[in-house]
Amino acid sequence: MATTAAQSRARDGIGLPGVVLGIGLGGFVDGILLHQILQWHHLLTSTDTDNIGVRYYPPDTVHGLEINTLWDGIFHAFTWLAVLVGLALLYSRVTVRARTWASRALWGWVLVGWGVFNLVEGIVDHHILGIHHVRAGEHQTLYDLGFLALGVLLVVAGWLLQRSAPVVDERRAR
Amino acid sequence: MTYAHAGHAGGAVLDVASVGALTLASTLAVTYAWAALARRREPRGWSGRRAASFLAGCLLLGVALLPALSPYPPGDFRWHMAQHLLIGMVAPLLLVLGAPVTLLLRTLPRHQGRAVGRVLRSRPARLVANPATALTLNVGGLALLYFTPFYEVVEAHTAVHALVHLHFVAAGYLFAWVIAGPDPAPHRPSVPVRLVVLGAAVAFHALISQLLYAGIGVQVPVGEAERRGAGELMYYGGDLAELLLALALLSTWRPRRAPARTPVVAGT
Repeated sequence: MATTAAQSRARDGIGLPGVVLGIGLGGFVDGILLHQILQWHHLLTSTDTDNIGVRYYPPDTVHGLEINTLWDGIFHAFTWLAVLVGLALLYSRVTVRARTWASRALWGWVLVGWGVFNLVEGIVDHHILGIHHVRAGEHQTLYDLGFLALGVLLVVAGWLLQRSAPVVDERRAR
Repeated sequence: MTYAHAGHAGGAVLDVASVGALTLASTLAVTYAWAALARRREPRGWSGRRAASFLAGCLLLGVALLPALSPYPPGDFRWHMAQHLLIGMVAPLLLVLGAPVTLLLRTLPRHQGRAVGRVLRSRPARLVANPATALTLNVGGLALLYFTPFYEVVEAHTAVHALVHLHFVAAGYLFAWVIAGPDPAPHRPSVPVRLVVLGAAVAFHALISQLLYAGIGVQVPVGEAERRGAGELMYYGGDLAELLLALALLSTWRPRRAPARTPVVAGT
């Protein structure tokens, strides 16, 4: 019984750092793949149809792209901050030299964090604020729902993965 | 407007600088492979993963400098940027993860190994291995190259060009080693400090690439398409390389000893 409690405590310890790291890495996937390489959207590309009255910055004008690039830069800073804070949290909680990075619990929580990123960004930015969509135009709601579905899938898969993981620091003194 | 790239004979497969780089990279690779094979015969062995990482770094160093592999026309600024990402960020990380200093220490006879250890712990080494120094050498090198007329000098002289490449490899290696890696680093600061330094490097790198893209203060005489393309490459490529470095930090850090250890030993 005592081992089970200790095991679950060790797994909880890695939960928050893993999720924060996952939020940052999920942001990178969104920022690099969707904003920059595919250029499906930027942070403010649908502000002509948004719900809070932000000015419209069309991405095909120089000024519009400048403003969108600025906000993408702020988004970029946020994702980096999440990655570095996640690593710092992880460091502050891992006290025994172990192959932390190879731990199934850590990467399970990272997947959960990525899913949380998709859910929060999807619900807030795409649906409530409507400042951009995954791919604006025809079928944009389908893309937005797909983004949310991916989020749910990641959270569930990550949760199952971390639950099946052995404790990270088996040699913990207590 | 295309800028004449005096260092490369237009369309040539090999130039002097690439021959030099290939020679250097293959010498490094052969020396490392020889030492690693010798260690493999010992009971402790030598990690195949480290060897693979180092040799991949050497390969990247060699091929990244071959003009024939450029997808762009000769002298294109975007190829110059891709080269700098590969030889200044990705290859150094692969080399550092190969633990060449550990291999050297295990290859050398004991008294020579001690001398290497003394050098690593010396005052000059402390000065160079400082994260602030490593950061300045990297960011300062980029700023000097893109925001002063130095780029034109570099393009006009093959020897200067080769030295700049060497600086990028050396400064990149120094930075990767200060931040992460299995090799001994007596003066390496704590993980939180290294994370802050990495954050600063990320910010400077993003700033310089954005300035390049926007053309603010840039003194590189190339057309707008080339300049923007290079800025984009630097922005995304830099992110990927820095992310790999952040994960390398995670994979090779040595967490603090459990504070509970002494009381537990004393108490039981």
